[in-house]
Amino acid sequence: MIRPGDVGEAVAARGAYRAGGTDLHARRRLGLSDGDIVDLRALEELRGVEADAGGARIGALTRIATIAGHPAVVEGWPALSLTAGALATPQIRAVGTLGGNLLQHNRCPYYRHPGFTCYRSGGSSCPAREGDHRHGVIFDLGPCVAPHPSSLAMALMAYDATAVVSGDRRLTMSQLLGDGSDGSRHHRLDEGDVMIAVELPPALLGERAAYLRATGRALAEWPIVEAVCRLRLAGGSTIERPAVAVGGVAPVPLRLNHVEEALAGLGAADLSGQEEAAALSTTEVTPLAMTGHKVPLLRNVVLEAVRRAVEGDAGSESAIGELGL
Amino acid sequence: MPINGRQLEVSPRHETAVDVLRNELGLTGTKLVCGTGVCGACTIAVDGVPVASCVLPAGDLEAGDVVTIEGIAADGELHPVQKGFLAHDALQCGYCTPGFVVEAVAFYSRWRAERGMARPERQDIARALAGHLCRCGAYQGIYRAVADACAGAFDAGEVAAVRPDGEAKVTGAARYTTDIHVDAMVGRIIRSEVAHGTLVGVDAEGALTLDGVEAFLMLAKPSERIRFYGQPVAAVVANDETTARLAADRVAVVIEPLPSAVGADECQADDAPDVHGWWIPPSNNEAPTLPNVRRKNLVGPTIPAAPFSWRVDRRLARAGDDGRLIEGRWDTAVVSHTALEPHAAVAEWSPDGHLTVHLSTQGVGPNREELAEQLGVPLENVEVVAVHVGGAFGAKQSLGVEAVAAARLARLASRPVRVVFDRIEEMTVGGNRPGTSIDLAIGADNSHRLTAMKVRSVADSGASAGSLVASFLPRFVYPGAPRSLLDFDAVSNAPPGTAFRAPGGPPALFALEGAVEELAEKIGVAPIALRRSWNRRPLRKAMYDWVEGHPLWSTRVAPGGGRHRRGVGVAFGSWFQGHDPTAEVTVEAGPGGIRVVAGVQDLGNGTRAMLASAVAESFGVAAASIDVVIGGSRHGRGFMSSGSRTTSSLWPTARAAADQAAKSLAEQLPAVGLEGATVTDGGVLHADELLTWDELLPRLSRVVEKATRPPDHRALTRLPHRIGGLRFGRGLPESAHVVEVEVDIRLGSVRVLRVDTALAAGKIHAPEVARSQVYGGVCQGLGMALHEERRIDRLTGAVLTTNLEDYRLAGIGDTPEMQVHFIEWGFEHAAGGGTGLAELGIVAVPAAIAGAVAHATGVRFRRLPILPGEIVEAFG
Repeated sequence: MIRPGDVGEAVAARGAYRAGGTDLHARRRLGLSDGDIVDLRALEELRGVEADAGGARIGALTRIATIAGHPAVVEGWPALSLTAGALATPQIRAVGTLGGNLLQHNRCPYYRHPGFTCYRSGGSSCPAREGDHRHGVIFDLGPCVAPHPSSLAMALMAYDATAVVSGDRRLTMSQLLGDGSDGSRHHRLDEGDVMIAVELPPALLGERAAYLRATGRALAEWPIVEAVCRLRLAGGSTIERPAVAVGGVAPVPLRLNHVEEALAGLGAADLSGQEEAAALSTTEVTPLAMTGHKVPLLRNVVLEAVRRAVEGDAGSESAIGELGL
Repeated sequence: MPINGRQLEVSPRHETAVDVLRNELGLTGTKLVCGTGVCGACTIAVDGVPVASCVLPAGDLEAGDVVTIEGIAADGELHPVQKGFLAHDALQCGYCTPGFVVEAVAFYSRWRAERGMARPERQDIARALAGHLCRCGAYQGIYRAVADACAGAFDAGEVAAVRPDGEAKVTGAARYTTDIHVDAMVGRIIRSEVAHGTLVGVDAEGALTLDGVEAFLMLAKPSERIRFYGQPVAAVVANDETTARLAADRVAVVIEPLPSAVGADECQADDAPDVHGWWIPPSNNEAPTLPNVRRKNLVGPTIPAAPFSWRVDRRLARAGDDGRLIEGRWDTAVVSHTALEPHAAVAEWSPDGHLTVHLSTQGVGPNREELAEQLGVPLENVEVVAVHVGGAFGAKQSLGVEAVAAARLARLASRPVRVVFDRIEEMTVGGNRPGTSIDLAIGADNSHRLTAMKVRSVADSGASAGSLVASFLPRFVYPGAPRSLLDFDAVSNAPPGTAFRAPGGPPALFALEGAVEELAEKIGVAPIALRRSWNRRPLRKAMYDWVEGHPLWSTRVAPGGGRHRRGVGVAFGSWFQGHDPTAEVTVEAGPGGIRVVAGVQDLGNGTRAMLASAVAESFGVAAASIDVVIGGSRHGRGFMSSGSRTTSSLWPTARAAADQAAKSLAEQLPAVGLEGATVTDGGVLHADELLTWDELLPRLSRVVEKATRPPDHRALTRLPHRIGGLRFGRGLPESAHVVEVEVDIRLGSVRVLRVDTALAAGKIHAPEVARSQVYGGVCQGLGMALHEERRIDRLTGAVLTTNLEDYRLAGIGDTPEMQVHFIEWGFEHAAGGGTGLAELGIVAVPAAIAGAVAHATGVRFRRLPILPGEIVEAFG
């Protein structure tokens, strides 16, 4: 166990970085990770939320529950706090961190099974593509067919947020996670790259936001499809500056620019216009043999997220922050 | 590190908190179940915040104020939440209970701080407890326990615990097999990683040269055929878990691969290899498998075809011509038992050759006999112990490889050895209910009478056979008309199926009850009215009457065309009833109190509570005062807790032993000056004064009385006499469910809002635990209907749903409001007047939920589980 005292030492250390440990220890128990642990948790400078008129900076070690309940985040970047409050379980949100959530490894059952190798574990094939990929992608952007697991990355993408990485580098979410074309990587950071923080642009005054995930069970389930929508209503009635991002459908979270373009300028009451805009979410899908069911689900989840954002109903079905966790 | 208020000096050898707590500090109340932070069984509080200790860095134990389950009632006073769990029977097997309690205690504190004495809503509790899973389905009691505790119901005073073992379970004191000898040597089973092949050899050299590796043994024979991924091949034993895993990885298993076929369709394909051969597969039912006809890998029929099945075809054809035929295929997925306590054994040999095996089992007695035979050890030298069992559901009946391996490794190592399946092993080979593909046809005549029934089931059985889907319930539930009922097993290179709570029942009724509803709709008859004319047995009629009087059913309305659509469904079920005639119970009574002893086990079904109630009733004393001693083969002749036989076998036997004990105590009365006293209800009548046994026992000498199961008054049945020790009794217990669901047709989610159940299982001897059994059956049936599906890789035969996020158990948020209505007549001829109900409680649940979804959506889904994608696709 290596316990660096500052970022410089962390950069120099060699091993698996540990933030909250919720993903790392699950993988170690499965034999998917071994060797030294580089424990980042003493790096207090990586923890905490700073927010002002210029934007927000959230330390990479900030806990998910903190993000979900932080008054400044709830007020200024509600799509992020709603997403944070709806993912995983209370116990995981209490320990899991922002950085860990963004950089977590894929949840594909083949990747997590000690009996298989795949692109992500040093192999040269995707056994899910030929095998069982019911939970797989409908945007087939690369050799690996598992969807990206980070709901927070999806929400941050909707804010054009930037990841701050050691060496004072700033990466967009797309730069951080790639475009899905490299099946061997969970993210684009290299050994020795330490995530420091995420920076968000200034809050959008009057933002309305919604986060929604389609699941079989009521609570605590990985989304089949998820979507986040943020926008505001000009004059209380016209959609302005919409942002829509989706997850569960591609090897990386996707920002849906064409849906946003179609939404901009629509009336809040223009249901058929919003429906048409949401339907654009599926125009470029390339579903796999077993993932066709996600196509109508994507369209419906996007529409529902838009409707909730327009109506100012922040997604009460998923908001789990009421009791402070 | 401050743990439970004590400062402990530990320099952790383990990486995660749960391993430190359990293996270094012996705090075994905290359970390790999923190992991936999903199920919550390992939850502890750090600075008041509940966290999953299986993924928590060990160092965090030093960073804060840690409270484990053992610290909740450290001063001896139970927390209000714990009292709530006891009073509302918010637990069954109890393996998830410590995690739930730690979480609920934290919720209680936050709630009190923020909302005072207000009573939380179900949604508040569900969200707070969303990170916990209970396989038994005790959620209904958990809701009530937490809500009442928050509202102040348990702030002061004692509560009456429903279960004698309840307090041990809510405080973390209950020790399961996995908690025994946590410092023992660790045995690990080496398994096949191919689906099909012939074992060539095993090279253990690389393992045996490792420091800390003690011994190695073969579990498979040379040249043995490997038929599934996960089949045991060998085992190693080492000083600790890490070394054992490393050693297992270093054992080179050489298997000459054969072409494989994984799954029912695959093994029936033209080019599929012959998986089955002349081998007799193990049973996926409770009856043994027999050599059977096979066409390639399709084995069966399990029960030979009835003659004159041409009549069935002719009648069905006529019904088809008249437009009164329903035929089609209904499919159900393979589902995994998923007991939270995995298969586990801890074996220890004494120097004089006596073997004690702690075993997570459904039958300490039968497993003891099997173990002695397999090891070639005299029976009297073997003892099997299962004081607490963390769930079984049918998968812990036949003696498992874990017991044999632990015993043999312990003999080689001359030290205690534990063999505990990890979650991947448990989900791979820990048991499954075979999937089914059921072709069913029923027809009616112009008076709406059932004219014929044809059911052909092909079970997706993996490396097992003997399924009874078509040929069991469809034979009985709508009697009279000629029928052709055929069961086949598609034997393939997948892990073997195992008996799972009401084997064959839920899939059969999903198809049959679904077809009955479809036929009623097609011929324009009310669905209950149609069933009334098809099954007129008195208890069935009572079920129909109950449903028709149920407001949800009688006021059901069309679901409308909106996004959220509510629907109401019903289904009816039956099951057999029987008992083990050799059941044996001992009652001891004297100055030390009253004790009931039996060589059986409590899987969470409430055996202890039921035994206490029988003896307490006889003596007229409080059930809580009865000492219940079970969970070991030394406590008397035992039988398997399966086939809904526990209550019907034990209650009348315990009652008889208690009555005998009271009688022989009464013989001592003249000697203590109570000449002419007579035994009566609740004590002894002497000189017109009622003396209670509580008063009398201190004055009498101890008596020990053993009884065996009194016979039923009318024992004739048409069923085969006995299967696996079970004697079938006369009459069929009945069940009915009224279910309300809400379907979101755009997001595809189904919320089950309410499940009300009527059960006719004779006299209900221990109502609280009986209700809990039904709640659990509903929760498991709900999982089958909507969420659970084992997935397997067709190429390699590896099970893919190996963790508790990919294998989806219903959670607390999925739990409907439930009520149970018992109809207690109809089994007066059975000793004790009651029957079992564990299987009856699940058998018709998926059918009823599917019926409610059909009502809500207008779409009859013929495959379980009904998943969001399928609902959304149906609506385009």
